[in-house]
Amino acid sequence: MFVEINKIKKSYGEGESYVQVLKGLSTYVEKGQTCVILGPSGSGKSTFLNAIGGLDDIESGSINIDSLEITKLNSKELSLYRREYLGFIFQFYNLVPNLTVKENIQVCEYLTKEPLDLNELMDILGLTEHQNKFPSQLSGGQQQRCAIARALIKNPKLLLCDEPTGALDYKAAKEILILLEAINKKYGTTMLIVSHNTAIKDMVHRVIKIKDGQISEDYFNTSLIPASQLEW
Amino acid sequence: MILNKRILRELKDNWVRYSALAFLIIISIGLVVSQAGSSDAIFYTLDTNNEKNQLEDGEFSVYVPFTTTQVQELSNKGAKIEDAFYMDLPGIDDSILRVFKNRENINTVQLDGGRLAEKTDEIVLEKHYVENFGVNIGGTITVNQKEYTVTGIGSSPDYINVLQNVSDVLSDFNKFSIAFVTEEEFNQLMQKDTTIEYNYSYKITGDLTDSELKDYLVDMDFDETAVTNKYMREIIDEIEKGKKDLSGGVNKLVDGTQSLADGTRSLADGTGSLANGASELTAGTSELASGTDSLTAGLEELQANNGTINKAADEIFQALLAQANSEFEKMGAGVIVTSDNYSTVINALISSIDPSDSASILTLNTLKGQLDGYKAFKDGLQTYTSGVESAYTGSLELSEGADTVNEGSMELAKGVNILNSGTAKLNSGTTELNSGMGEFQSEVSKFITDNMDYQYVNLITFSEAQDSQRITICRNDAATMKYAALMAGLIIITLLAYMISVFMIHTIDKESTVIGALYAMGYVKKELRNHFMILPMVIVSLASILGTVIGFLLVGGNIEMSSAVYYSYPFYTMVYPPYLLAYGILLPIFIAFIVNYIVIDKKLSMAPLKLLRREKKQHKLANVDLKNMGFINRYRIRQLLREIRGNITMFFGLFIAILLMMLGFCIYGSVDSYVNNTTKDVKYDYLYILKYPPKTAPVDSYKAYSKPLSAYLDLTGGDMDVTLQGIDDANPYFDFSLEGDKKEVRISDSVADKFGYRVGDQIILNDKLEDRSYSFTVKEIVNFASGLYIFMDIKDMRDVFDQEDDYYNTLMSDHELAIEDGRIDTVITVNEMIEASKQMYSVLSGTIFAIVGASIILFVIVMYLLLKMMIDKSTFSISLIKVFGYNEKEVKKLYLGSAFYTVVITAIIAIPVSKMIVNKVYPYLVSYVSAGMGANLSPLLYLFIVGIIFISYLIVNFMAGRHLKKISLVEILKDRE
Ligand SMILES: Nc1ncnc2c1ncn2[C@@H]1O[C@H](COP(=O)(O)OP(=O)(O)OP(=O)(O)O)[C@@H](O)[C@H]1O
Ligand SMILES: [Mg+2]
Repeated sequence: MFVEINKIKKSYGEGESYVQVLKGLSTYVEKGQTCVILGPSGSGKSTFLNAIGGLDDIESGSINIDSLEITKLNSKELSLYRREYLGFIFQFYNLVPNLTVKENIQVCEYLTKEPLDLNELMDILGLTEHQNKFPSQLSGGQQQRCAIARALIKNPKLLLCDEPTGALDYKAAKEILILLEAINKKYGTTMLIVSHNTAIKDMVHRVIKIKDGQISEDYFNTSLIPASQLEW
Repeated sequence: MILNKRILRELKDNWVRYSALAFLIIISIGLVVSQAGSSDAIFYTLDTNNEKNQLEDGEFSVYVPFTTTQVQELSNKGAKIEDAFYMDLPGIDDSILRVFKNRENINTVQLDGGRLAEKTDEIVLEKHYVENFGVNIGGTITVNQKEYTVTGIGSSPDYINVLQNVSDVLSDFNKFSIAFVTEEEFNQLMQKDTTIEYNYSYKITGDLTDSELKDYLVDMDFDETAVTNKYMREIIDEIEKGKKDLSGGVNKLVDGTQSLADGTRSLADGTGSLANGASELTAGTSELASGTDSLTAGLEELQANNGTINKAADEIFQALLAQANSEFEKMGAGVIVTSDNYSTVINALISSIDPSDSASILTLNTLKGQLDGYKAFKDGLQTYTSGVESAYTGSLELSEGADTVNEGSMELAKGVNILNSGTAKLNSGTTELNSGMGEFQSEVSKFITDNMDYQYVNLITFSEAQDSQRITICRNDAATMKYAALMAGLIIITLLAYMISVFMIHTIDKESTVIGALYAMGYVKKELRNHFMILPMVIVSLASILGTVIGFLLVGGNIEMSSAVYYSYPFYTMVYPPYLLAYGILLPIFIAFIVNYIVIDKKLSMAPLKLLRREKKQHKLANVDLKNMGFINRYRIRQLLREIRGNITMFFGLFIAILLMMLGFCIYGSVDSYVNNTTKDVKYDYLYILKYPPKTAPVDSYKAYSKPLSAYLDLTGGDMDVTLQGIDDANPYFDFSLEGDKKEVRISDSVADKFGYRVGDQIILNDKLEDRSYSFTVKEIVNFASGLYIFMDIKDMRDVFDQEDDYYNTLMSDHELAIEDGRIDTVITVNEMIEASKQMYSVLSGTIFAIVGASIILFVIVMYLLLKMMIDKSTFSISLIKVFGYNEKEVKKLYLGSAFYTVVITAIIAIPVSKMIVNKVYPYLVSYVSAGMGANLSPLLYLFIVGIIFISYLIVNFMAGRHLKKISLVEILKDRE
């Protein structure tokens, strides 16, 4: 298994404000799969994703990525793990405001020895014409595409997306989803996508639903609907 | 690293902020480097000048110039000396020119231009005097009614600070400077002038110490008859006369005792004669006695023979009687005759014989006749012997009488003898007295030579170069300025480095989600830290390099505008000391690196998730309960607390600005109060310090006794000159009482300030020339701003310094006194004093403007940058609040109001605290000024400071207000939180 998650528990706060967010979650994702994580707000989706990304630590359980037990890593090792394996896409694009599109992508190109072809990637993501613009000069969808390019440039083995379309309108959101799909096809990137958009469930290999810190549903799609045909 | 591309854009986007910061760094380092660099250039210039022109090790003045032998003697001792005689002559306007002859080996003149005087009508002038009166080389100047051609302009290493009197607080080129003429001309001037000072400069060549040299000079013989100064001559003559009078008196006394001795000797002689007479008498009576003795002896001999005669006569009679008896027997008369009965018996016999028997009768008669005759002889003999006896007795008596006479005369002689020995004792007494008188006389003359001779110590003044205000103060000033600048620079650089880090934190905060995202992608802290360090380091490096370069470029102007205006030394030589390059360039970089590294590293150590979520550590203070406040105030305070880091930074920045401002104003205030108090405290108009006080002081003047002494000053670790002034209770110019013990003094507040003395303190005043120290007790602190004065009762002072009961050397008056010039050492008129003290304004105005100006710039920039930063941070909420419908004015109130609180709080704390700091620091800055200059700040100046703070705040408020206005409603859409 590429991603193996075993009984992870996570809680916040103490006393009255104590809240158990992840209550012993276990699951796995195989290499090259796309996976959507669905669930109501506050159910712990982001927490789960962040734990896999090594951004948040867990209380118990194990997270094994490509046979690497990341719960045992210190922050420096975690950085290197992220550097080697991960791409991140956030709801808010978090681009470096005073770098151009191209430069923003280059920032992450720097992190690997074997980056993807920058121009090709920009082409795929339709950023070539915007490559010299600053984020503030882009629409939300364009910014998100840039963020995706930034996340993909280092050809991550695992792409973690937290509400990648959350801030976008239908059209822009759809474009992003089409891109993600294309990328998975082209580069075989394993993807974990957190979303409120239930429509996504039909375009991914795997659907995990979280409720109250537990996995309430976990299934594989037998047939996939192309992103372009999704409606919501 | 591609990320670094954002740096330039960050710089471009925030160019106001970064250029303002860079500007602050540049001006602070520029000012500090220019100040320290000026000081170093001055040091170097002075040092090379001192070496090149053979700065003296010290100088001294004497009454009688040395003979060549004496000069040689001193040279052998290890002190090379050169005469630097001078006289103060009237120059341009009312100025005085101190004229020297050209120097040869010590303190040689450094010419800025031209050449030394070569002819008798040529002169070299001091550079500032020349500037002041607009004289040029080749021009002419009238000195002492003689016209000279100016051949050169320069300075002399022993008159860097061109003070007429070493005790002067300030020089004044309108009043005094120095000039040099040829030796020939000088000798001619000397012929005319009586007020020449025989001053010598020395350089120690052997292993002699300065104080050994001084002692040697004190002991050195000299010919006091060669003293030429008229007034000194008077004094010497008087002393000589006194000495003569004294020894004359002693001589008379000696003569008197001599006469006494002579008298007693005559008396002794008289009694001697008397004794002789008595002796003779005794001898006469003695002869008499011995005559009578001889007589007696004769008579005694006679008397002794009496017995023999009488015995013989008796024996003859007895024989006659025996014959008669035998006859009678034969006759059968049967009678026996004795000497007593012979006549009767014979007569009875005769009668018994027949008358006829004539023959028998006849025979009997014959016998009887014979016996009778013999008996008569015998009786005669008896009479004779008893006569002899009586004569003997008589002569015995005579002899006895003569003896008595003799005895009498002997007693008389004895009496005479006692008398005589009495006289002899008297005589020896007077002889002793006489010889004692001789001793006394020699004692007196010894006393005169031993003690009254010290008046004739040839040495008048002695001063080591290191103690001379003329030589050292420029350097000391520069040193003080240098260390003050370096210290202030350090503080400001640290502040600015911290400010930069605050902006970096602001940037990091602003981009915190981006940073979180980068972390999420696998960036490590080191990479981001390195990235965020670049901008501050580049700014600081460039600014400090630029600041240092500008600083060095400003050195010249700085020197030309301050030190060189006031002090007289050759054109400066630029130096680039490595330490200063390190200070100007490396130190800011180092400080900025440390501060930013710590701050940025800490900031970047936050968990990526926290950065992504913009989680900020809410300060505890931000949760403070503000229920009871109005909305606006509550909002402001919340804003203030939310931006507590920015506000604390602002506090420190403004604090330093206010501290600088305070320093600037205190410098002004101290000069101002010095000038004002001088005007107020000095109530006489003329003060004459006399070298040779006349016997009787002019009427309408008040006598005082001034003595230059020195006291140890902690601040400089050296001695500072003070004037001890003995005044009279009747002196109208001082309104304090002089009551107290002999060793109690009143110190001026100026002295109290300078030395930190308090009432009841024991103070030690040193007389360097005499190598003596005096201790006094501070009885009271009195108001007297001018110079450094300590007052005491003139009577006590005369006592302490062994002066006569009417001694004085100072006169105070409300008008000019008619005193011969030659008697005067210094005249100080209050107007001149005030003029001189006012000079301080111009001397220090540059410094004051620089400091106050820098403080305002610092204030405005620091406040503006931080306020702007806080506004930037709150863009979203400001935009939001605008959206809510608050108008510009209200937004301003809410967001700039917190800064107002900070300014008010800072001002309330910083004004008193910085005053306290300046109070502590200021004495060091003026430690070499020989006046007590406190960091005084009048209420008006306080108001000024408050006013400047307020106006600066308004300016910033206005600028920030414009910035606020620019925040559009759409920010809320762009930015999200
Ligand atoms: N740092 C935190 N401190 C305390 N509680 C937290 C923290 N982060 C998350 N939580 C809580 O954990 C729970 C899960 O949060 P999480 O962000 O994982 O939910 P989510 O499923 O992603 O919700 P949404 O769809 O709204 O993003 C929530 O109840 C949230 O309040
Ligand atoms: Mg979430």
